[in-house]
Amino acid sequence: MKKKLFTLVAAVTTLVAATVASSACFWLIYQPEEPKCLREE
Amino acid sequence: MEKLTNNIAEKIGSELGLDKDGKEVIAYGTFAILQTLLSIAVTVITGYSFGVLTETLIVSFTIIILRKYSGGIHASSPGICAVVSAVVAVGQALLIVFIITPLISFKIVIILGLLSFSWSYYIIYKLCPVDSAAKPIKTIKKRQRMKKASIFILWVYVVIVLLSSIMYLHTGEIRFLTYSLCIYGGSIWQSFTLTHGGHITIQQIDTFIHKFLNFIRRRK
Repeated sequence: MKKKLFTLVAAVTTLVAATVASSACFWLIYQPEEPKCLREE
Repeated sequence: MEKLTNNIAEKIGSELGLDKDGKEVIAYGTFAILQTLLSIAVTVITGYSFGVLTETLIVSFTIIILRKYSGGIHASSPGICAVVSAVVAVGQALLIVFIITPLISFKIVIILGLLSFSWSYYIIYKLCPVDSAAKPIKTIKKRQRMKKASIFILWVYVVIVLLSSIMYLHTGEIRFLTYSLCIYGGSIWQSFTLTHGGHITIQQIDTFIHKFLNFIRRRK
């Protein structure tokens, strides 16, 4: 059960991270360091 | 907040046997969700408290949607970001609802629309996208994509304002003019944050809030 919940959270957060990565900046005016693996080099 | 999201990602990543990249992605996504919720909560509570919730949300979402593609200057912490964003959105909403709308006519709203969209279009065409060290935009392809998307969003705003104007002419309800003004305000503010003047303004506000918080901490 715990593992299923963690998998769900991991999937949702990865989806959100990928969506944010396709934009020019984060939400409003704070931008944390973007993971290198999400950058379009 | 970054510490909290890193801890969450570490816990989930270890449990699922993810590598460093996987944990970083989870931390980034978790941070995005938490910061979004924090910003919405601060903006909604402030807007509701002043009785201008709808107008505050229109200003906020005009800024946020355009910002996703045009970029701009950033605050030094998520807390300052939430405060500045709420103050800007609620401040504009109050100004529009209580000062500008009572003094304005339909013709002036249309003229202001032409001026604000022309200026926003010029700034976006010239400067967009404005990236940051934390999220650099390196490829020309992505830069072009961001610029095109920003200009497209600006055109969507023009269409919304036109629809709002038609609604005003049809019903005579002044709130439709107010909504148009909120969209102008959001577009102008977001375009301003792309300029050098915008960078200096946000940096000064950021420094002021930091000094103010340090002052409070020392007094405690």
